[in-house]
Amino acid sequence: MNIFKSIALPVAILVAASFAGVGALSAADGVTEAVKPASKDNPLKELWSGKKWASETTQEMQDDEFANPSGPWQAIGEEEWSKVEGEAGKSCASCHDDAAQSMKGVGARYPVYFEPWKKMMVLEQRINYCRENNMKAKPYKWESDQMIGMMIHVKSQSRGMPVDVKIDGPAAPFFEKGKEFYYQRRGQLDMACKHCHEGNYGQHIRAETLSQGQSNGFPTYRLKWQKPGTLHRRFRGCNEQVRSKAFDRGSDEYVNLELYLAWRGQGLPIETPSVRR
Amino acid sequence: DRCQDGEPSEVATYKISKGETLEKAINEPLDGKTGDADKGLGWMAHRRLGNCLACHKISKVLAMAEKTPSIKVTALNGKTSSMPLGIHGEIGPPLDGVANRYTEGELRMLVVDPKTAFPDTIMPAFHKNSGFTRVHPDCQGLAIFNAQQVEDVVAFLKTLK
Ligand code: HEC
Ligand code: HEC
Ligand code: HEC
Repeated sequence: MNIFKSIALPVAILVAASFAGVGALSAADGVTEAVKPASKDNPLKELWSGKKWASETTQEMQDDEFANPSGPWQAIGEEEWSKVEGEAGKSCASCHDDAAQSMKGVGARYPVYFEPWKKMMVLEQRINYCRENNMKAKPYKWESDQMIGMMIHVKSQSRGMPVDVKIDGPAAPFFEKGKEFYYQRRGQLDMACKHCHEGNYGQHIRAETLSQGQSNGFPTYRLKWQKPGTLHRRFRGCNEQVRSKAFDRGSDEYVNLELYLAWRGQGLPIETPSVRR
Repeated sequence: DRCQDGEPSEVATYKISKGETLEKAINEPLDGKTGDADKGLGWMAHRRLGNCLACHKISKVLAMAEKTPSIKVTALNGKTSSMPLGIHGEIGPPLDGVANRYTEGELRMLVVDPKTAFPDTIMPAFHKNSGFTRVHPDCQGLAIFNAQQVEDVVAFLKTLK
């Protein structure tokens, strides 16, 4: 074991973090320091990004702008941003100009309650809403390279900013539904999310270390997938591994679950695009 | 094919009695079957069946793994796979000495349905095929172990003294 690395690194980050303040944290810094949950109702006493339990090589891959394997998708997203498509003859840039300005903080506060739908909306849905209604263009397929690229492009503008979703007002009933989902046992193995990610994080399940199942790094590049994937893809995987029938990406069930999960990580810095095993 | 390893649809009827340490026990072998401990270890190591080692450390099995890193297990569907013996998780308590803590009937009850003893447990029920929420269509109506497999596993657990 390399004592230098394991002691020196956290100290350096602690010092850096205490000067920088939460808002200025870079993607690297959600790791070695726990974040205090914003609400005392949070069942987690301290919040950890899944990065904490990623291997050192995986962490380095995530932190290095040039080694991060999501690079090609990020490039697709940037390109899509100013690509004119659809009958309105517009691109995202026509209305939102420079994403670094207009999209800053957006990824940290989604999902949001969307009045015309009378329900919650996740970022993928907002992007497609703008494509369909404001550009008169075809929506992206949920798990397409373009959607993942655009998600990375938009969400990475909030990198380092703390997750900050609203769960009160009209969002409240949807939050409750998401919470119910989280605690519901499912599938032949009869497990709920909490069985793996609340009571047992940091523990080995076979050779794998369980994390808190936080969403702050999505879309996540998984070495297993050999590409970045959306949060709802991960939800499907976690449902299926307990031998339950998964829901569709973008289903009300997953949208509400996403809201609840974001609240469980309220205060963790956005890490998009993260890298996991 | 999520439940491709020949998981059985029938579950035995059994009588629940009072245990010594635990409230509930199944004192009679399921369907009157006799267990085979060696086979039991195979069902326990199989990732798609017991997968017990994913959560439980067993020192005796770790020691075995030094000589035999993996064992061949033939599932009910006739498929033989090689399963590692040396990778153990830590979600559940080590099973060392578990036969000193519980009676055979209690061990059988724990394998059949551990929620009868630990209502909030992460551990699955291995001989139960209904009462679940939104089971994957491939696994609908199936239990993980049949009566014989439960007895094999209980026979192995009884060696953990
Ligand atoms: C014709 C104008 C127009 C175009 C083109 C357009 N949008 Fe929008 N977009 C809007 C409007 C209007 C809103 C709503 C602003 C609000 O609610 O404050 C919005 C909101 C958003 C939001 C949510 C911002 C927030 O603060 O909640 C995102 C994300 C977004 N758009 C992304 C995109 C992307 C990505 C594209 C291209 C694929 C795009 N938009 C194309 C007009 C447009
Ligand atoms: C049988 C155990 C198990 C259950 C039940 C389970 N998960 Fe997971 N989950 C895992 C494993 C293993 C991983 C990969 C390692 C890790 O990050 O924890 C994972 C990863 C995740 C991640 C990615 C975390 C990251 O940092 O990239 C999220 C998000 C997640 N799970 C959410 C959920 C939700 C929501 C549920 C319930 C619908 C759920 N999980 C149920 C085992 C489980
Ligand atoms: C996903 C995790 C998991 C799996 C898989 C699992 N167990 Fe468990 N097991 C547990 C946990 C956790 C407990 C402790 C009870 C509780 O939840 O408080 C436990 C308890 C037990 C106990 C009681 C131990 C004691 O000292 O009180 C026995 C016996 C047992 N398990 C046997 C098995 C067998 C045999 C298998 C496989 C056929 C198995 N377990 C599979 C998690 C698991």
